Amino acid sequence: MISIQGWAEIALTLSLSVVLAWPLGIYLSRVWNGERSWLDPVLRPVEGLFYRAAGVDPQRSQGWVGYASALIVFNAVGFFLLYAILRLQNLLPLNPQGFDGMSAHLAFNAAVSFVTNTNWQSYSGEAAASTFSQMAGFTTQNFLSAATGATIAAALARAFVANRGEGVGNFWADLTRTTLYLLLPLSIGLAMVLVGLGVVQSLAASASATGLEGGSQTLALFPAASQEAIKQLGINGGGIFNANSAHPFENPSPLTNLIESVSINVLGWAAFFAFGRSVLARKDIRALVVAAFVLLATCTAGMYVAETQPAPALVAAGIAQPLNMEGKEVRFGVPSSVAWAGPTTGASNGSVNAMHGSFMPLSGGLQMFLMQLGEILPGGIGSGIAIMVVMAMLAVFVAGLMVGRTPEYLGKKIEAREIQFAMIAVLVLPLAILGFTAVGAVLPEALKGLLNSGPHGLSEILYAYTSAAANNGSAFAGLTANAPWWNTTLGIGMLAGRFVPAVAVLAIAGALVVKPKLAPSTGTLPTDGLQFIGLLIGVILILGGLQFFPALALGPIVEHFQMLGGLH
Amino acid sequence: MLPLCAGRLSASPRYAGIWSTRLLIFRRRRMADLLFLALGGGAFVAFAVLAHALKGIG
Repeated sequence: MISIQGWAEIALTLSLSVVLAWPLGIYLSRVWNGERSWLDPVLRPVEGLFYRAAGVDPQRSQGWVGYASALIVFNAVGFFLLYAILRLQNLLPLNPQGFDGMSAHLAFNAAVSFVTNTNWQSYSGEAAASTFSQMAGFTTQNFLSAATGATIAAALARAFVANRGEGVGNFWADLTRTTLYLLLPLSIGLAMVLVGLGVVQSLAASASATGLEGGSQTLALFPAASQEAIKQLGINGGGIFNANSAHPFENPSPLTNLIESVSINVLGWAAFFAFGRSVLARKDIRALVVAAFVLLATCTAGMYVAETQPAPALVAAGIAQPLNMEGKEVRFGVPSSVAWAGPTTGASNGSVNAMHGSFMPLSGGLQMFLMQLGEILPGGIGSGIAIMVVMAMLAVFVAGLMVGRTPEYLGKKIEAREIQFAMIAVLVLPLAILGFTAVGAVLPEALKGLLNSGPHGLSEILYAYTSAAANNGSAFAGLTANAPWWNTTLGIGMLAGRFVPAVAVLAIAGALVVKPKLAPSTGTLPTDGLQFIGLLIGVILILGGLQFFPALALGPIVEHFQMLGGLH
Repeated sequence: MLPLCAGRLSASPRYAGIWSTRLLIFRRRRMADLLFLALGGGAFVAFAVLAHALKGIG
């Protein structure tokens, strides 16, 4: 049953993350620009130490190819290191559970997953990854992959500000500053709050407990709070435990649930505001925030409505519940589950506090749709605003075609080259998602891992590749993904979905940075009003969403009608 | 990571024996590792090539 309290909880969660993001965005912009901050006395010397040790001159601005090359090399090294840690975890310290090294295909998948900020998990955290792998491997990459995303937006912002400039900034400085000044302090603070509220933080292997019926239980322990903080703030999403944030050791109470669900989107929105301040176009970027928020709120509201409709088959059997509680944690209920599911799929987070495969078919479809839009609502830290700006450029380009003028956005002319790069950034997602889904739906080796047939089975495949390529990481359940086919192809999807758009956006930055900065004229399309917000939403829905509609029609939409017909 | 490995090796000869045995097992699986390292590494090389190819456009 829909309730006012339910709507209020969803509205509070969504709006609180935007409100908190505003000051954080101003701070992030200062960090990107190298301006003074209140953490300078402590962190400046540390920052300088890193530059001296690495031989980096933070003042030297790189061309876009140099910036992109540094990003690729840095992430490649991260991949190799994490792969080695996971393969050799049995030989490394802090393995109190005595886990063996991961298999080669699983290590590949997990390493790619955390380097690309996806955090898709083909393994069960408490049954496959040692404490060392969690801390030195996954948590480290949670910071670095989030900071990598932020660097893309920082470079793009400089390109819009420059007037016939050359470089787009220094990748190493952007990476270091985002990690040191933003992610580390916030994560330490949030981890301390979570520990105070009961989230587990322990290096011990397990604790033993006796249940009410007298049976003994062994409860796996991990340093969960420290990973939970960056897992949410870094928009990563990979849980220490298999049940992710439905596990009471990760998310013990309604209060931690609210804090963690607000944390999912806060830095994604902050990157929007930071971009707006950095390019001196706050009103224009505020329009992007409004467009993204409207889409996110609408899809989340749709999920809430769907989750409050009992299935006709259950009504006919006389066992209908007013709410769909299947797969949901009873401590949280439907509104808290929806208030998490919307933001986690709108951002590229992917953590869950309920099992998405057990949501109503239309809710599952909306979750996929949110990811398929390109993870821009608000998406990852920086990577979300970067693709949103690409969408805005496409919107002004479409408007320019209609009125016959050269389109401009934020004072830069948008010409053929930028649109070519934008299309590469936008089209890699359907290519990876729909291409792999088509093959996975017919290949016997892939179908072995499927636990459901029919439209729900297709939804499981479509969700998996959507989650991977969009760098979300949440899972639809019902798919045994720890197999060579799935681990390998999902890994390729994650790599393509992360780095092809990253290179394309940096190429756009390179094309824009050399152009003159233009003052708005009477022929300039206003990009800060309601008209542009409507146009942008249309472009996002058509370019980002419509190409997935046939696949969604065969999966969750058919399943919805089957359910209404009492067939499911 | 390397100092930690060395620390464990030096802590006990028994560890060294276990480590050597596991390394042998690991070697037998080296083809799989080579394949996946090449796949990951190849992907990053492809992204670098893409960057240079895009630089050439226009």
